[in-house]
Amino acid sequence: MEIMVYSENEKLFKELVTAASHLNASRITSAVIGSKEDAEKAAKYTDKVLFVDSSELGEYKPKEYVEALCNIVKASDPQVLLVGGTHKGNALAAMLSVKLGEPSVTEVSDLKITEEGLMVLRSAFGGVAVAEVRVGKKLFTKVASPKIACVKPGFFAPAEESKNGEIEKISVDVKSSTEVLEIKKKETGAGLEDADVVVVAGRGVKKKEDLSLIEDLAKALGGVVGVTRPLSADLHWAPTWVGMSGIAVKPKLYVGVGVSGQIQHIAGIRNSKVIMAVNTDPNAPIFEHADYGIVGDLYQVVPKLIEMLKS
Amino acid sequence: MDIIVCIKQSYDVQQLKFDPKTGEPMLAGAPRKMSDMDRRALEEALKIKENLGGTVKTVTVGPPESRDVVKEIYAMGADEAFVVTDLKLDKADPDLTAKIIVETIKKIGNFDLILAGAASTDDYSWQIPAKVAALLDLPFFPNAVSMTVDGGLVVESDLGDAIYKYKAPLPSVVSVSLEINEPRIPTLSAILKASRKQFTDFYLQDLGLEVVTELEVRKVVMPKVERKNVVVEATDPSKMEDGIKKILDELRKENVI
Ligand SMILES: Cc1cc2nc3c(=O)[nH]c(=O)nc-3n(C[C@H](O)[C@H](O)[C@H](O)COP(=O)(O)OP(=O)(O)OC[C@H]3O[C@@H](n4cnc5c(N)ncnc54)[C@H](O)[C@@H]3O)c2cc1C
Ligand SMILES: Nc1ncnc2c1ncn2[C@@H]1O[C@H](COP(=O)(O)O)[C@@H](O)[C@H]1O
Repeated sequence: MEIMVYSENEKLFKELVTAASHLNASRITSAVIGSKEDAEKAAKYTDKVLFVDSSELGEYKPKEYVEALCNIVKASDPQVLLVGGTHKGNALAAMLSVKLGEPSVTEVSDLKITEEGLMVLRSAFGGVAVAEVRVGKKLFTKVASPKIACVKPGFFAPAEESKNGEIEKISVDVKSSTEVLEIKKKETGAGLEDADVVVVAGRGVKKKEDLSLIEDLAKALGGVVGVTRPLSADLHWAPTWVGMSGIAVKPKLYVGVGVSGQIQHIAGIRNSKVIMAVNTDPNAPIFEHADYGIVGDLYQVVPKLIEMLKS
Repeated sequence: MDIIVCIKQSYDVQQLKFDPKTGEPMLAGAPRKMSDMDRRALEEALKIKENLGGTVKTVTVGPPESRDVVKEIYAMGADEAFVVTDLKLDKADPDLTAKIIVETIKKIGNFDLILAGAASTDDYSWQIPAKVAALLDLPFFPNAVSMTVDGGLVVESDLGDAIYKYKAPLPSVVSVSLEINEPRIPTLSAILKASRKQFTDFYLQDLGLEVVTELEVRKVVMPKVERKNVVVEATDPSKMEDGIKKILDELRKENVI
């Protein structure tokens, strides 16, 4: 069985290769829309690379890129297409699924193939729960008709180089009426995904300058600082946030400081080994999800914590 | 500018209860609310209308309870709401929902722009607006953090690694993020007036569609992570040190510090 993988994100691409090998793929093909170097890199991980040179397409535009991806899929015969579940990937997968008349599923954390077809685990109810979903009635219906699954980052170990796949160039002829005016690159997060200790600042932190207090605590614990969504998306104090719609973390120790613990945040910290929280409100939902809680004002508790950690 | 906004009446996931024995969600009669990002999509449409004139129409697909969202849609200021309901639509998959939305849009007629939330509060699948765009063969711009339509459509899409600023043709489909705006809170008199306004109620037969799904949800459970819930009181400065010491001792025992 052929499984195709596509992600513009290099780390996630490697995770998809691992996911594909867990599905017992007899052949793994990568779809690459990018540079020649991107195609050569992908060749080290998969049996074959089908490659559209992005210089013929320009920067990422969903409608134009999905044409390219569609040509790639049709040039091969995958039964499953695994797409990296980023904003770019999710959009392409959903549009491609319409073009191919095959189902797509997003937010996938695990998959397997049974007699009934492709079964996946995806998050449900905004990350509160996990759903087991059957994708499509059967695996194989017609040529170039893959079931499409968008896999979330961080659930499979990145694959190692092990192949020297052949690269085949696929041509596209796409006319576009959309213009890319500007691309504002974002800073990347502070290595939150792989950190052993993550200290998250929430709205309880009153001013941007006060983040230094949280940084001091993180330093004392040997960890990195993250923030909740409002601190990043609304107040722009940090480039990324922790949670379901941001970065999912799985540290040995998570510390939430002035974090209320709304479900969308909890969904991204659930895999932490130990959860600790500091909050003035004894009824804050985070305490239900915490192993250890300190009810108190972070401006008093955190300096004391740092002092006692140092001594 | 004639705008169509896709609005889902989602489960209020914050309030969802789970059966303590089976871990399954208790969905019967569970509270629902207008999906968070859809409220922003509607706000954005209303702002465009206030600037440029035109109409704002909404499409809602779902089980019969979904009709409850109409009052709020009108109270915020939409011109006309279209609702497609069926008991079986609680089990709809994204392909079916997108098809129903598209067939409804075809009934509504002319439009310049389709707005939606980037992801719904309950399913959070990031799929329906993209599928609507693909079915209509329109350009799609996901997760907009800002947009203007005066003198052509300009959209800033947050695509994770960067913010992409597009100059896009009309009509297009744009899905919006939580941050794009702060939605208005309707006044009491607007709410009262809204409850008397008529809306168009379609059934699947009206659209020539039936419930056929390719995604089948087999089981939903809440992953149960047992937590110790050891909480100490540190509001009183005299007790603070003891409390913190207790927690630090525990963390050392856990071998995490
Ligand atoms: C679709 C969707 C996706 C979302 N995704 C995410 C996500 O990925 N990540 C995320 O974080 N959020 C996400 N959210 C937002 C989420 O619902 C919450 O709004 C957010 O997590 C709240 O952030 P907060 O805890 O910092 O702020 P608040 O909820 O305002 O909580 C602040 C807390 O600080 C406490 N506090 C105040 N002063 C002090 C003090 N001096 N000392 C100690 N404690 C104090 C308060 O008691 C309160 O509990 C999402 C929302 C939606 C609708
Ligand atoms: N049943 C529905 N009725 C109307 N609009 C919907 C429906 N489901 C999804 N949408 C729209 O599509 C967006 C993304 O939903 P989803 O793909 O479920 O994450 C939502 O924010 C809505 O704008």
